[in-house]
Amino acid sequence: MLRYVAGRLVQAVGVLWAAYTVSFFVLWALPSDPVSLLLGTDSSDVTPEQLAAVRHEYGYDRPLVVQYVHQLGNVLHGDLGRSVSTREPVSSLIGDALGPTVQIALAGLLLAVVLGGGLAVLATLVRRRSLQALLLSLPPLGVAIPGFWFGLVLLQWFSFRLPVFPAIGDQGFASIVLPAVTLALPTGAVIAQLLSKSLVVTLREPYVATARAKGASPVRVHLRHALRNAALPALTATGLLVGGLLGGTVVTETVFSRPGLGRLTATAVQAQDIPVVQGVVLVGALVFVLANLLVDLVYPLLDPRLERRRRSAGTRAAATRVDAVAVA
Amino acid sequence: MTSPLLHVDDLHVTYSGPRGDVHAVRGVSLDVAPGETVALVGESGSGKSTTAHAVVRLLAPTARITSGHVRFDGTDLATVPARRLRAVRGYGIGLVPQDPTVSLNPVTPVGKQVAEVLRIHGLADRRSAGTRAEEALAQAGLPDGVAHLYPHELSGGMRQRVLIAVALVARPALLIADEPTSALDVTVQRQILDHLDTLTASTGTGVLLVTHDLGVAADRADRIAVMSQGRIVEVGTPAQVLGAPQNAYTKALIEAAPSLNTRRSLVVPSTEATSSPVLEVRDLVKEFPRPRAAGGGVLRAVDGVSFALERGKTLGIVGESGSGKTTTVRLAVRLADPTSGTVLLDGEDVTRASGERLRALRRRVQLVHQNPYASLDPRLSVERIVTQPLRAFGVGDRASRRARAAELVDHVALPAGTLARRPAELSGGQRQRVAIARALALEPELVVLDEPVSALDVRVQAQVLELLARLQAELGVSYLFISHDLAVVRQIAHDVVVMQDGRVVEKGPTDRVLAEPEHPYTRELLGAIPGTRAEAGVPA
Repeated sequence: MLRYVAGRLVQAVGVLWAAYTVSFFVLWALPSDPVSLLLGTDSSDVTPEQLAAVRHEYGYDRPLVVQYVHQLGNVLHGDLGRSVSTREPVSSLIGDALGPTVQIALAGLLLAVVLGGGLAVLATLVRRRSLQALLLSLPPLGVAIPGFWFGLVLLQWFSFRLPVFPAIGDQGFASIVLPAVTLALPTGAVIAQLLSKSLVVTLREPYVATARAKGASPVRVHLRHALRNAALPALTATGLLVGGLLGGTVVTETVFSRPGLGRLTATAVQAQDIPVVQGVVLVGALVFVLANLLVDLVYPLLDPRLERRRRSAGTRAAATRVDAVAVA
Repeated sequence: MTSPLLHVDDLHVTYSGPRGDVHAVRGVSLDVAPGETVALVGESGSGKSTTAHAVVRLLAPTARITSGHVRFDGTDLATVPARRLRAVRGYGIGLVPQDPTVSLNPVTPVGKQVAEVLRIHGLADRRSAGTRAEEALAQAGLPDGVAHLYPHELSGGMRQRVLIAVALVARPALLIADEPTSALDVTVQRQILDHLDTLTASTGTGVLLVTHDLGVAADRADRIAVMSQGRIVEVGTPAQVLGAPQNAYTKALIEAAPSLNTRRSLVVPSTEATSSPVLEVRDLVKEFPRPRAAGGGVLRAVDGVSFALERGKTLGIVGESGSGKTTTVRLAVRLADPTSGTVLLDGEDVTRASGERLRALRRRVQLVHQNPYASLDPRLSVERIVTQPLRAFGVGDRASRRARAAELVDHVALPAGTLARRPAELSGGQRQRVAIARALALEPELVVLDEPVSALDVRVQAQVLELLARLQAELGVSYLFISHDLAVVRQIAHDVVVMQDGRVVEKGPTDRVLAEPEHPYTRELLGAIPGTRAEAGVPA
């Protein structure tokens, strides 16, 4: 077990390093000059000497590899550099944005798991064919609805027509509800889709017939026998969905005018504020890696056959790596 | 006769499918008295399993009981509401399913799975349920301490014992056992069935035993009901049914059952006194590295195996799962490389043959696999399948290959029209004939038959064995015949090799080995053949 945990940790660090490195070189290749951004748009009156001085101050005049090693060293000490537009340290910008985002993201994830899981169980439990077909058609619909539109519809109904929840801001619990629901929709839909498919397959397993032969009720068969076995693929997917959840905050926070990581990302990308973008990439990768580490650690608790599944766990980790880079 | 425990009356079950309804059970009536064991015997598709499952309404979603009654304990289970039916399942009627490897929940310790029955029916609280589960596991013949283990940590036989504990823990009045041992080795089968006998006899439990094996039915049942095409065609005591069968189908079934016909032999009389061996292996050893998780080291799957197969004869290799028989044969035909030892084909050392030499060897040795459903490419016509080896070796032109295909299909007694058909349109027995035809296409000296009849019903099994014997007589081909079933080997093999744990424990002429077995393991295998008990009491 200890070896297993150690192996997963080494992989996690590897993913973080890869995400940082790839984003560093990709952002460097962009056709933008951080120094002229730094000096503002009306920097035409700046002399080449001044430009060179600033360039030297930020270290942009050194060879790329030296810059990379230097920055990586700083990152290891917790120094993510300074924003080129506001000159604030990136770490404090991200630190301020993290809180509100974590609130809606966690609430969204919780809602997604509860509602998505609940829908999957309900859909496979109902006897009426027509009702089952209706319930099973909901997840694809949920995936298909665009987040910004859904957010606007929620605002229209629950803030303007029925003033239940505040339309904007990050004050109090009520302000979390609508953004969290918006975030939960696509994530919950994917969970529901995966879990219901997995449940349908699991319910055909001979051990489910054994449970029925014991006299177990449909609810018991579902919750005690099928669900835990069926949850394994959905659990893996949930780890991967956390990345999607972070991406979703960009739209959600914009629609609900909330401060947070998503808004920070949107602003930084618009301003071509490379240090901030890189910081966000690193944080995103970190969240992603932690979520999947958690999944990997929970997995053996749910499935005692882990010993046999080591190899498939290896392929899962590889998929995780690819996805982390895609998110970055 | 006392009033029956279970009374099935004119039961009909229909499966609805895309190609219309299939009437699988057509008016079955059946009684099981308290303490009585009734065997429901039939071939695949006869409706025996469906009948058994219909008793507790554990049918596939597409199946439904269209009419009839299932009277048990004063209620009609065919029409009783689901809630009351659930009170009977597990408590009044226990079920032992077919395949123990997939019938236990993989993520729950087995003790909990046994205890669950008591918890569902409110027969025990959490703590006493655990204790009673451990007792039930012990009664099913499992050692102490298995209760906290997971199914994957147990062997197939042990898992079936767990399922027996699940079925019997609530002391049901009736036990339904659906092919409870067909997935197990023959010696394990005997232990499990013996144990089931003892347990049910001591509690007076009635048993409905579903089996395809007349031998098992003859050994274990008080009465046998023979099913064919959804109907019961004959009922009686084992002595009546086996000794004086009235129905033509029953007669055919008995005639075909290898375990019940010890005197029947298909062994082709050899023409020459002694001939040179076509295949000889000496001191074959195969080691596999163990996974590091299992402690590392090596696993010796084959441990110093030697035997010789004479030209035109059949050598049977017998052993249970894990005995190394399949690995040995893979080494002998050079599908795997031995760790050490020698393989001689026609006196020529081919142990290290590779490239063109190995390819030439492939031409002389052909294989027929166990599962005819998986070994034929479903997209190809039969003609293309049987001529595949010819095309692979560039033998003949299109016209001559076509002629050869017709000849081969004729050899294996399939109608000429089969050539244009695809595997999906053929039955299991027909498919196995196609596989044999393909193996014969290149006129090999040696055909390796890996459990060639294990997946087939007994009547089809008998036909395929007859075909193999006839082909040997006509073509002089040699067979290496792998089987777990001594009864089948007895019918077809001149010589036999008995394997256990990677070693040969006994070898010699089949008649001698089976009549006067020297090794205790051979005796155990022989004793475990179902039907041997009944044979003594049945007039020849």
